[in-house]
Amino acid sequence: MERWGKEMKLGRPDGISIIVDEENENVMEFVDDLYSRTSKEKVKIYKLSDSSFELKEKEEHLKTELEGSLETVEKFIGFILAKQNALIQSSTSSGKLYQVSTKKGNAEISTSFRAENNKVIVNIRVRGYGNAPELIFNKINNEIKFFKEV
Amino acid sequence: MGNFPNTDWECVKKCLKPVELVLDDDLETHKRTDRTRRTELWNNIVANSQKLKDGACGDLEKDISQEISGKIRLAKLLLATAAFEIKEDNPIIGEFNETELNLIKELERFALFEHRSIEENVGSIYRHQEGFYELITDYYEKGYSNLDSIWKNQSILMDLKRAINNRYGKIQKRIKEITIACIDQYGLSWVKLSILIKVKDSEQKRGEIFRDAEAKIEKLEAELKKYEFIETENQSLKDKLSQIDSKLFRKEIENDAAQKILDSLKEEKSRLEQRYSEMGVLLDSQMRGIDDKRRELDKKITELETERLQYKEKMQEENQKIVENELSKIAQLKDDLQNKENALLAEKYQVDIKKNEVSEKLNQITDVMKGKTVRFVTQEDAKMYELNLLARVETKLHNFPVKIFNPLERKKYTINSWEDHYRFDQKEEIYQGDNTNYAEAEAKNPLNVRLVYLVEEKRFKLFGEKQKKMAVEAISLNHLKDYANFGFDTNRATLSEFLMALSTSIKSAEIGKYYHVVGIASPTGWDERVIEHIRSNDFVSRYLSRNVSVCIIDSVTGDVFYNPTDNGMVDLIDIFKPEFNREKVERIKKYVLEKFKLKDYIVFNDVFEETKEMREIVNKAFYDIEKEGKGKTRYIKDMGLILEIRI
Repeated sequence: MERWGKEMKLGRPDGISIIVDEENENVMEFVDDLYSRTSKEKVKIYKLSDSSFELKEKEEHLKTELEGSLETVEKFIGFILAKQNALIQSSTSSGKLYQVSTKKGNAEISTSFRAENNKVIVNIRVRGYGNAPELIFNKINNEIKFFKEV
Repeated sequence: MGNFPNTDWECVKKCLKPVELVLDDDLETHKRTDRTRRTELWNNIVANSQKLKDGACGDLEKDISQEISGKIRLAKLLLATAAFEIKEDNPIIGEFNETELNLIKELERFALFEHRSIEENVGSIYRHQEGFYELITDYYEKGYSNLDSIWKNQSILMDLKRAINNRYGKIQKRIKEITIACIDQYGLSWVKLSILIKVKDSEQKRGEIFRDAEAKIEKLEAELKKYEFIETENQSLKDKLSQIDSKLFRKEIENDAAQKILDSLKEEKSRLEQRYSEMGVLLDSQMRGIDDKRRELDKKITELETERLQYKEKMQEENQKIVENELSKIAQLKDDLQNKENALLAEKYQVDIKKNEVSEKLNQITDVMKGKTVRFVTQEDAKMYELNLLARVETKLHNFPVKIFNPLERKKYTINSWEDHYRFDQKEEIYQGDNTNYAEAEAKNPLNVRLVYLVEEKRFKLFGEKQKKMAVEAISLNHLKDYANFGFDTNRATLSEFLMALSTSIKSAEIGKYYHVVGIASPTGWDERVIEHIRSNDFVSRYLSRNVSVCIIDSVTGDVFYNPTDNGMVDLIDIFKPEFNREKVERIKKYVLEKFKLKDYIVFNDVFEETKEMREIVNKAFYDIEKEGKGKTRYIKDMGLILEIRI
């Protein structure tokens, strides 16, 4: 709100807000009564309509191969995610789901591993809204890259 | 386990690895661990617990599963508490409420005790080092010693309660051991446990009673100062009376003159008696005061005993120990008070006896003035009778096996050897001034020797401290001052003297709970009142004790008196009874009666020299003839003892 308030003139109506169905047969009688009890100047009437935005969740995906046993690689990825303060939400044999909170927002990370010829194929997906997914994804990616280079 | 054969224990162990890693460390370590590591541990715990739930390690029995879930929860709580404590913005904190977070924070403070030896802990607590003292008192004051209370707390998760009990139960046990060691080593003074209000209350009360009793004794001592010289006054009056008595006996003074002196001493006598009475009242009131205090302690004992039993039932060993410690201190104080009371009682007993001494002495003088027969016993005869008594008793006690019935234990002891015996006397009473030839004085005079033989048994038959079971005592009772001053004595032993001689024996037998047999021998015989009293049951129950059996012996006539209902004494009387060779006594009697045909009186010394018989045999013969009404003994100056014919 702070960030967007001035730019977009964000605000909320003063006083008490009441939503009434326009189709209701008593609505005129209700407004009439309201005017008589307060004053016409103090009552403001707006029309509301449904408005939805098609905002897509962002998802970053990383698929990489790491050398080592499944256990070692899982442990390594677990360490990298712990560095991002990602907390595990659920764990199955097929993969793990993490939740991470940052100043830029929250994101969900899912990981899965598959062992293949002394290598492990790692799939990491980061989902969420705003900048958080990209930010976290980049951090994870950089860590893995750094590791691979070393 | 048997019901679940498919459980893969290796897998379970592996899954619990991160949990164990967390629980192996204390809160402080976790607080200093970096966030990544903490998050990693948390994630591993969550992932593994999911694995276990999904049955990756097979099925688990319900109670094992519950235990595991509690452990997992506690490990997570420990990590969350660490984050909470360092004020980390970490969602893991949100999994627990503040009660749970704070409880672990508090309980973890005590983990410190677990990692050091008991001795180290005790030392630190006692020296108030490193905050250990504050920590342990806090532990009790905040009620952490009672982990059971967490079961009542609704806001703590069930599996967590179980795990807390397991983890901190160990620390609790350790703290108990430390507390007990502290109490054993340093007593209770270091503890300020508000949970043990009753103990503190009792400590305070005990202190008050102790101070109160001390003050009472101090006050009593100050008041008794007034009577500091009462003993000297008593002795001086008795000396004056002895002088008159001796002069009367030697016909150095007429009855009228003696009566005049006696009248002049009346006032002194009644003043002395009055003062003894006052002293008795004073001692009585103090005794009552101390007795009341002892009763107060009894009340405290009852309260604390209840407390102790409760702790025992609840298995709260350290609290039980604290109460027991206080109880033993009360018992100590009670003993102390009892001793004070006993001392007062003994003092009172002596005061009561002494009060009558002068009157008794006066009665005896009056008896002499009225012409009543008195026995004349010389210094050397008295000495001889004393030695006879000791030799006789010692010989008989060494005529093994000696069989003595102990009525307290209802058991007959067969004695084949004496392990311990001792003798003491009052010889200092015969010394007269600095010029006394001590050896000569001791050889000439009786010394009021007391000979005591003890039967002791080890507490546990073969080992343990020795405990007195029985004592056999022979007492020689003489008026030492009279022998030292005048060389002879004519006064029979009085009731006061009898009671005085017994007082220490009764007291120590009652305290030591053993059976004491006493024989008291007097060469001048016994006042009728003593003989009369010793035979009456009423007197025995009132003045004597069930721990003591007593007989009195007339050394000259060989008569012994004791209470016929006293079973203990019936068996032992032979030990004390003087034996005279009947034939010899009869021969002397015949010799004396023959002489009576020619003379009206017989001089003791003549018979003694002519017959070459032992003095006690001649004495016995003289007094036997007197008893049979055929003669009368008398003392004549320059001639000594004579026996006059009685027709």
